[in-house]
Amino acid sequence: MLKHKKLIIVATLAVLILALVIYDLSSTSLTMSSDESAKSPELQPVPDVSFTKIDGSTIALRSLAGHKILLHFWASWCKPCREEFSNLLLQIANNDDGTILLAVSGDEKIEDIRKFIAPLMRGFKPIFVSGRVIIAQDPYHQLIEGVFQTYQYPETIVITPDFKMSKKVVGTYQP
Amino acid sequence: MRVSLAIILWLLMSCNAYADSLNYDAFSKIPIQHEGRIKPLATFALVESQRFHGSAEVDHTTATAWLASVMFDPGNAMEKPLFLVKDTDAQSMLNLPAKPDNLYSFAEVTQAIFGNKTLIEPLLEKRPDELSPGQKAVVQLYNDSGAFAQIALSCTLFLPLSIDLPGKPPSPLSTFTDYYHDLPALQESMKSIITHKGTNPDNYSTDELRLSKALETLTMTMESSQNNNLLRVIPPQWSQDDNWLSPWAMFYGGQGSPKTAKLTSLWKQLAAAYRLHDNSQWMQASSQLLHETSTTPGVRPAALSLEVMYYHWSLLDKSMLLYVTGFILILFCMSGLAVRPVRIAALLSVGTGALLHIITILSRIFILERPPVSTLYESLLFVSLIAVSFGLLLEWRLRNNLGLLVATVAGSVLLFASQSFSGEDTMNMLIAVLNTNFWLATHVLCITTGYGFGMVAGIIAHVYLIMRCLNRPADKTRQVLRGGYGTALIALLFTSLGTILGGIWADQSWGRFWGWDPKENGALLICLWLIWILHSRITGHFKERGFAAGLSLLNVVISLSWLGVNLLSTGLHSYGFTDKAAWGLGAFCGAEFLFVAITYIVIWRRDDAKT
Repeated sequence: MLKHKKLIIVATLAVLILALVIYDLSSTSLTMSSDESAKSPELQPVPDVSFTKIDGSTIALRSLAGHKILLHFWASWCKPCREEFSNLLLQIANNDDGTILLAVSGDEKIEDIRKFIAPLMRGFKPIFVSGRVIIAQDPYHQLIEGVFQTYQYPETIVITPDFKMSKKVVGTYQP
Repeated sequence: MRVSLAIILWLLMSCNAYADSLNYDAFSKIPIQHEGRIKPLATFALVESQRFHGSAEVDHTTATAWLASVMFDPGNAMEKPLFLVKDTDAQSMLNLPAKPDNLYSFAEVTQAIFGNKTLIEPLLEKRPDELSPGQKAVVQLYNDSGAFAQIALSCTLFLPLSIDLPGKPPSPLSTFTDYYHDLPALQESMKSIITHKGTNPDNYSTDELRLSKALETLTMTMESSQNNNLLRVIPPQWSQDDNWLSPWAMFYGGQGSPKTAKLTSLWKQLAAAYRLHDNSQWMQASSQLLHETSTTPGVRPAALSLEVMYYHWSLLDKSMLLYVTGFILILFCMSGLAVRPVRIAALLSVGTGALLHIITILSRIFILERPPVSTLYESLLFVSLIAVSFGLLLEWRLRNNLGLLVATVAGSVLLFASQSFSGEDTMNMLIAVLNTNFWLATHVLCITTGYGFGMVAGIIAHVYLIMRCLNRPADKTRQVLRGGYGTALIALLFTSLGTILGGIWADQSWGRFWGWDPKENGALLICLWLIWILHSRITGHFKERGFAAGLSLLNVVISLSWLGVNLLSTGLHSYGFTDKAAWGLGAFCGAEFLFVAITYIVIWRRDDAKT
């Protein structure tokens, strides 16, 4: 029976010591777990595609690497797109960071695009001339829907200078 | 309304598929986010088929094959008997015809629900405790039919639409997205037709009728897919949270990306392969889908494969059978029949059972990446393994069949109790307070280990009482009880340690060490009970039979603290609440009291007669 008494005493002491050690360790463990919860966003690779500009020439998206690119999907019949477009141009004109706006329209008729763009091209001539704004067309939506899976206009994908897609803005673009 | 429209829509497009000859290996492993965790489609299918059908098989096909049929051939799936409605009150409330198998199709259920809308709507407003069993079954059926509709319409983004537009050749492979960008133009054309010819289709030309029908189909598809978000098979693309998306949520939320375009294309191929019964294309598309989604951060392909195998093999059932076999063999052995070979067979049986048991628990640790004691179900598995392992250890030391008896009884009873959770996904996500591996690995492991040793001690005490009733030699019975005494000490060590650690965890999580919560009181009760009987034994207040009776009743105390307080549904330990096993627990406690009372009286009278 004495042996059992000793066992109980040893067990109780062991319990208390272990509890103290674990209590001490627990605060460190909780701090670590909260630090681990901070995650960095995953950047997605940009697909290797080319767009047809409204002048009929093509432009490879990769050829713009090194710049921040706003890959903007829109259509002339889309009211929010029309309302947003001049603001987007204003942002490009006011920023001196070399950002390029590649605005890809889902319009079927090129005349609709030209009709909408013409007054803007006159108003924002320098950025159109310098190539900081590129207007392209994807009438069959092979790239807009088939590659980028954009169905609702306007949408903007931000491409970083190291050619990764960092975010997508659904609706009006806010930097 | 949307659902009934959807039925009409999809009944028109049913395909003639022979799904059960397709190879579902890769398909079953495709990840889905469901109930807060990433799991394979096979597990999702199992959970949903159990929910609707009460079985892991539907119409002699596996749950996975059934899920594929609902996803890719919803028209046919909606007509097949699926919903198990056993409650006759519910059947009569909904005017469902009596059937021998009590199985009803989605079409029948939807018709019944819409026909009894006025009856069902007030029930949905009531709390569950205000409903009769029949009313509960009606509400359950209402919710289940909604969930089924979600699954059935989840893949309509990938399925071919029967649209025949004027000036556009019909394509059997064209899906909703192929027509979506035509929608504004179609709506404009239809407006113009209505302006000129009104809304009566009799006034329309053939082309105008085709346009009207196409527009109706597209509008119905859109209406029926609003808020469809159960089948979350698309990994998050742009948001920084971990929420996966259903195909329609991805579409409506503008969450498409080059990656989702690839996934969508593969899902379309999969749907087409299913409908064409093309096994090679099916296997290719499902393997590629698995590969593409498996590279998503947070997805572990090995864990998905293991989970599919886990549910497929259900090793725990085999383990329980082996324990029961071991128990029968050990009874033979103790009765003196062919002792040596039977003992070896019993050892092999229990050993193999324990091995399968360990594999099960290790698999769960690997799949869930956390200690194996976070839910009531898991604690049953863990405690039974502790008891079986200790029983085997005891057998190795004593070689008198006591250890084997303890192992087989504890293993069989506890795994049998765990069967009440079968048929559901037992790998639930943890609530925030439990989601710290550190505390799970300390407090919960300690307390459940304490339960395990406590139960072993209780079983040993039972053996002692039975041996005394059978008038076995005193030295043998004393040896058995000594084993119980030592085990009780270990149980006290672990339960005390676990209770103190629980207090520290409560202090960290809830801001207080002790709150007289039912679960806390239960844990304290086990410690106090053990301290009481051990001290009474040490001081000589309890003789052998009193100590054995007290130790036997430890099983009752542990059962009430472990399972019983969860039935109260009160206190902060809400993650363990259950309404299962209430009758079983009551019967167990009653039987234990009866057993202890009878054996105690028999031994007491015999001892009295001797003196």
